[in-house]
Amino acid sequence: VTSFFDPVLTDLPERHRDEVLAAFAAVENSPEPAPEAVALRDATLRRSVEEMLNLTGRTLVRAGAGRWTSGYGTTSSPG
Amino acid sequence: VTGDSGAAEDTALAWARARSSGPLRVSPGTPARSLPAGMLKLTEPGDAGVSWLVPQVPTDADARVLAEIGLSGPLLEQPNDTARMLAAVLRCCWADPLGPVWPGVRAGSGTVLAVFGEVTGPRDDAAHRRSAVAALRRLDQAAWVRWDEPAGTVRLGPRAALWSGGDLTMLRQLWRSIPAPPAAPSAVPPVRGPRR
Repeated sequence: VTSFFDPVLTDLPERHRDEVLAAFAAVENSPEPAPEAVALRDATLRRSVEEMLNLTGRTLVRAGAGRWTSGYGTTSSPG
Repeated sequence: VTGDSGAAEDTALAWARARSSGPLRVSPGTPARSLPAGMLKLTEPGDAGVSWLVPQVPTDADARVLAEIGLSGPLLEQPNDTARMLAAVLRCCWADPLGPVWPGVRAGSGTVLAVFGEVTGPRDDAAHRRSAVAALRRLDQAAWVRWDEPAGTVRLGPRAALWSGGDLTMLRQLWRSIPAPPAAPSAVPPVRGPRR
């Protein structure tokens, strides 16, 4: 439990929070783009994943149809 | 400080550095307010005064979740020997498995190699040393282990401090299943010592 990501996570229902965290793990750690399973298909949850990434200076990148990864890019700074 | 774009940039830079090269080494005197957001500062005990900054990602959002969601994790070179060496270091440096795992204690590299040898099973001496040294280098580079090669000592690295309670329960069982280090470390030749 860390306070750093709390601004994104606290308002999410528990089930959604788990999905957002799993999606964050998938795009940040998998060597391959992650499939749209987990939280990435739903635009609202995907927005939360993106906000988590933005806090660390990263951004969500679409890698073809229904696949996502993360990277560095021009993104609005958080806050 | 949210809303401050300078602070946000510093945070992004620190996270990017940690992403590319692992935990960041900082001076132990660095005041808490100038630390990048979301990072934990760990100070090694004693002598040289070394502190590390490690990104704190919730355990539900780090690489260990990948297997659960059916994705492959990062590739690891020589995964078996690397894991056995980490187990040997854990056995030697976690003096009391009921206590915290980090910072633990320093162990002689000869002692660690002896335990590594017990875990890997019989191999000829040259192959044993070669695989041990390679595994120590990989673990040291990734900050799982700190190997002071000139001094011939090994300790757990800052990444080990991030193991969760659940991980530690599993690691405690592993710790008990690994042969204890030899009683007299001096009986084991150090890694770089002369041949007898």
